[in-house]
Amino acid sequence: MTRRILAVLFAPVLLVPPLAARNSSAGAAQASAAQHAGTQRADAAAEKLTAAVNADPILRASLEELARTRNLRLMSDPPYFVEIGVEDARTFSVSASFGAVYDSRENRFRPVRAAVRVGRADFDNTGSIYSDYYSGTRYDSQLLPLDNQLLSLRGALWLTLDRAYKTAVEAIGRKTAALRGVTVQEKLPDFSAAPPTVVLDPVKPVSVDKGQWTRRVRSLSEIFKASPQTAASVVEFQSTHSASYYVNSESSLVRVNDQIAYVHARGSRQAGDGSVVYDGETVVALSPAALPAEPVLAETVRSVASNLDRLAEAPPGETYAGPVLFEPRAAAQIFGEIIGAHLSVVRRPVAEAGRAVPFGGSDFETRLGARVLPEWIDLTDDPTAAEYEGQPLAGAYKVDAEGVTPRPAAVVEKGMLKTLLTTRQPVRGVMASNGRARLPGAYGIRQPRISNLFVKASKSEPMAALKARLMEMVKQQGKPYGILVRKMDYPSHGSIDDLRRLSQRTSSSGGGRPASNPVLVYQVFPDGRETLVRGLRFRNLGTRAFRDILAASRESAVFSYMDNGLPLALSGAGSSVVGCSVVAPGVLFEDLELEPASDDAPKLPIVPPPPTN
Amino acid sequence: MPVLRGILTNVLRTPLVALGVLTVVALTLAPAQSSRQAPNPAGTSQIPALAQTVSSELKRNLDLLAKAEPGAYYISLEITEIDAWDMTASLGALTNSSGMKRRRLDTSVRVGSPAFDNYRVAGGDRPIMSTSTELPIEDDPAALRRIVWREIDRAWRAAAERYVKARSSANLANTEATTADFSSEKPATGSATVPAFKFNPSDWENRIRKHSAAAGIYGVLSSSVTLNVRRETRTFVDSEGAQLTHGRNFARWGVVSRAKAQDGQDLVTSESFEASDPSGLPKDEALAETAKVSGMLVAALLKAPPVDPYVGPAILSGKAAGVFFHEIFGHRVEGHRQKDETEGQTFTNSLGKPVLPPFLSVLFDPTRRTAAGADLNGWYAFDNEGRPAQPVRVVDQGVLKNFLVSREPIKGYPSSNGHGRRQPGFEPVARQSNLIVESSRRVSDAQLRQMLIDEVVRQGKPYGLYFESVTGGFTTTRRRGLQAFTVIPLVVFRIYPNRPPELVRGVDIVGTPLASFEKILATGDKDGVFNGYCGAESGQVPVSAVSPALLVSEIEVQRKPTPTDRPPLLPRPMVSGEMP
Repeated sequence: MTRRILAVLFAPVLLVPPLAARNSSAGAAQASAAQHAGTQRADAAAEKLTAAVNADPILRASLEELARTRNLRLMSDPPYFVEIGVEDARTFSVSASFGAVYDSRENRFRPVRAAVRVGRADFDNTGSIYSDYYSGTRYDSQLLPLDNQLLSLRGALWLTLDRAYKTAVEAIGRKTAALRGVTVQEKLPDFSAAPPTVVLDPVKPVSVDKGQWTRRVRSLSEIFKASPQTAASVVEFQSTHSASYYVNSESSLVRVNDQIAYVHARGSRQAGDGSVVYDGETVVALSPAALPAEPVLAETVRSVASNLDRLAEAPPGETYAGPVLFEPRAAAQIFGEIIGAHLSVVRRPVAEAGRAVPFGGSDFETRLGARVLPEWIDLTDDPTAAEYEGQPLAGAYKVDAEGVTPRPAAVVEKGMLKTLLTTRQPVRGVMASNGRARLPGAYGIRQPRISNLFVKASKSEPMAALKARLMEMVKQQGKPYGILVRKMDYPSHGSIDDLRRLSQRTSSSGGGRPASNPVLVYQVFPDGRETLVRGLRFRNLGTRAFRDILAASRESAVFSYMDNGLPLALSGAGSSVVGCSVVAPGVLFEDLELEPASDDAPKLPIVPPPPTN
Repeated sequence: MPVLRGILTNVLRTPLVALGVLTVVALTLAPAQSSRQAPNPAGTSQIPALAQTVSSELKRNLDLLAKAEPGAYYISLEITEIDAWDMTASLGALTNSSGMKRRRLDTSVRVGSPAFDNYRVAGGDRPIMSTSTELPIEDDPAALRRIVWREIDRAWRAAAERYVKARSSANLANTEATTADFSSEKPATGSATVPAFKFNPSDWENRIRKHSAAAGIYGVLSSSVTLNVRRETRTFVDSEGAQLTHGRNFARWGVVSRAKAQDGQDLVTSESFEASDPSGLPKDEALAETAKVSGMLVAALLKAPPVDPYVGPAILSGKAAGVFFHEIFGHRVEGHRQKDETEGQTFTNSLGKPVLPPFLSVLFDPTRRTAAGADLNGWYAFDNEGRPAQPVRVVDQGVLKNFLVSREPIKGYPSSNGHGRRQPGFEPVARQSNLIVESSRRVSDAQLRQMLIDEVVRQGKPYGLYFESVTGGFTTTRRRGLQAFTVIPLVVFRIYPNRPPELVRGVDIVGTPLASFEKILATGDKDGVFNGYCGAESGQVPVSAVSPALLVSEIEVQRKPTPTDRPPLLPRPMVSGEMP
């Protein structure tokens, strides 16, 4: 049915059938099924679709330029696959420090991402370090015009697709040459088949009360004024919404609404020994209206301000190796950061022998079928869930960035790793996409990401019981106290300097990905006393430790955040974000190591802070 | 080729300063990130209150930092507030339109003493210590004080660290510094509100759409018309008692058109107009015509032959001459280069000696607001060190008389002459302002052209060159690099004694600076103005250059290196029936 629709669409513009017939075996089956299902109904639907496309200049321009790409020829064949993704986006943001506002910003922009594949699905130009590199002069902008004249949009797309094709031809040549000196362990195809998707949602306008949010942000930022030692602080509100478009030469046609809004608060100050302490919170929702009410936001900001003061006054933590109890929220954070990252697998890019490639890699890439968690834990990633026990979730989406419709995935069953989160790049053991291509990536491959990750423990105890277990273990091991973690710095609210210091220390302490810092760490004593300590870092908290989780709590927490695909999901650093949620219980780890930070502590200011009036 | 001939006739009939169109050199205005309502015309400035608040916080900090180890002896704060709108349209469609209001705080702390402080330059290593941060746009005193306190602390720490390093490396160094690190000056005070201007964004959006559509000539790959509107207010306070509020407005309309020749060469044409108020920009008809010419020229360049390597006489239009002077001359009279041993120091020992032909003088005058009917970009009331702007006659009748100096003294110049400039986020150094070339050998355009032909014949060359339009060049003044300059020509013609002129493409000017100066034979009698931004150690600063056309007896050109990628493989999507 889809092919028929597109044949109808193209009739007035070009008499060209869709590209890439060979990848559409699923499409062909659908088409014939639809034909049997009732030609009249199909005709009416096709007309409706044609009308919808013709009424949308971005769609129409994309399809018209897409159709022309079959005529692209260089020293090479025309593309076997072409895709165009466009976002028609609007953002509004406003921020304030200490009760004074920075100017609000309102922006409209239309980023476009087009990709062309040459070669064949089992060997194409993607997945090499050259895949994104174009040696010629670029005439395409990465933004489409804001006006809707068809020819202007088509002109911009024309230049974009021309450059994408030339990049692809150059890349496949260099990839082929690089492989001459390299033996590849296993030959996986570069591109998996996927049925086309047609979804055309009406564009939903979103209104943001700018004046009200400016007042709120100003008022919330005043909370940081109270503590004179707070050297830097900011409260920010941002709302982004876009109509997201995706079309490809396999007849996928997508227009959906994407929205995210957040309030972010961050502060930093120095402790008595000069060490910098910082804390932040980012409250995420799928629309400004869904953000909590102002009193709740104020409470959140107050907790950040109070954490700063308590951390500054807390003693520095000591080296520790032993059991560690994570409260539900902190547990959700590390499941999201560590397990989420390792579930998202992309292949190492092809490069010449001996050439260093900046590439993280996943522990789980080779562990399908192995035990990665205790056998009483299951993990499910569900992009269709909108809420959990009355709390909204941030990770739902309809179609991924490659036009694939995602379904819930049972990633871990009884502790065994069953599947990975994939894009249309096949990975070992998972040959098809499960619709998790959420963020732009490098080397011509998109980054898979979790959506709503549910951590389910089939046996659990109340937190109080877990605490008691912690104390028992501590007593047995002859330790004076155990460690409880209430909050991790993920996504990180650190500055660029903080991040740099962290990745330096990670490479010196054993490599792997930098794991975020714990923020609220408590020494828990047998008499029930809890002492906050500061400045501790985990040594090698990685996927291995999760196998030895001893127990989980009955209580669980929902942790929603924005992931931008960068290390530590550093707040504000990435240009694309997706919403994610993790629902997790508290967990007791058998044995983790913590050590004090050896960062330089700048001297305290000679001049005392100005009076707070 | 009717189009090509049409352009040439047009250009050559008008004075050699073609069409009164101004060229921008190396203009890089960062795209705006935000949008807001048009600047409020009421614009009541609370700036003097701002100056008082930060001034008192400065004093509170210095009182204690003066007693620290090492002690601070000077602190300055500069707040740069920019109220801006930027919009771009490409071939009839709007691609961006947004406004923003932003404040930047630059903090500078000096420890030690004026004779030797943390700004001491050692081994070519220029200090970068001032901290730069964004400030809220609201004048909340408590918020401002907190931020100023934090920044002064950071700046003092960086200053202390560098001072200690500079002192220990001075103990090891061979050479004795003969100049101080900071000049002694009488602080200036003054407050002037920067007038608000009327600006209707949606009106201008429609206008630039129309202008940009005019550049849609067949062959043009991309073309954009950009409008930038700025209102800049600067507040400067320091511990010597300086307290200044001043600023300026600036509006720029520019068009850039690009195409790629079949052999891979990238072709660009660019024109712009500047005014201190958007209402001072030319009317729509002139702007649309300028955009159209930009497109037509680039399309003509597509068909033009590539230049052959050539040495011979040439005329540089006034605008092109301005760029020439700015690049090959202007940077070499910047004060700090005279004392840095890693710089070329071309002119350091030339004070009092002829450096240009005797009929030429060069003046840097930041107090000049207009020249040749155009607003000048390099105008300011006070520099970024709080010094009043001063005209400086650098060359008088060919003889080098002065350098441009900031508060960093150089030999023979213990005081600033008001040219300490920087972009927010950088440390000030001596930079150019409005470069003005004066000539006592002015001839009419027709005579100048005749002199070119005479020289062509005398030298036995087949043709001479005419540089109508150029864009940003770069100079390497350091010893280690090549002493060469490249000014990038955009539109160049071969001028024949007995044939019509011919457009050529892919031209690069080369040559050594000293040699080029001696070869200026005469100038035209009308000034051309180039307005732009100059990038160097202290970032981008607005500048201009005013010059008549120049006749040079010898200029050397080479062919620009050409990339080998191709123009687009498919034809541009067009309405069917559209003819090239």
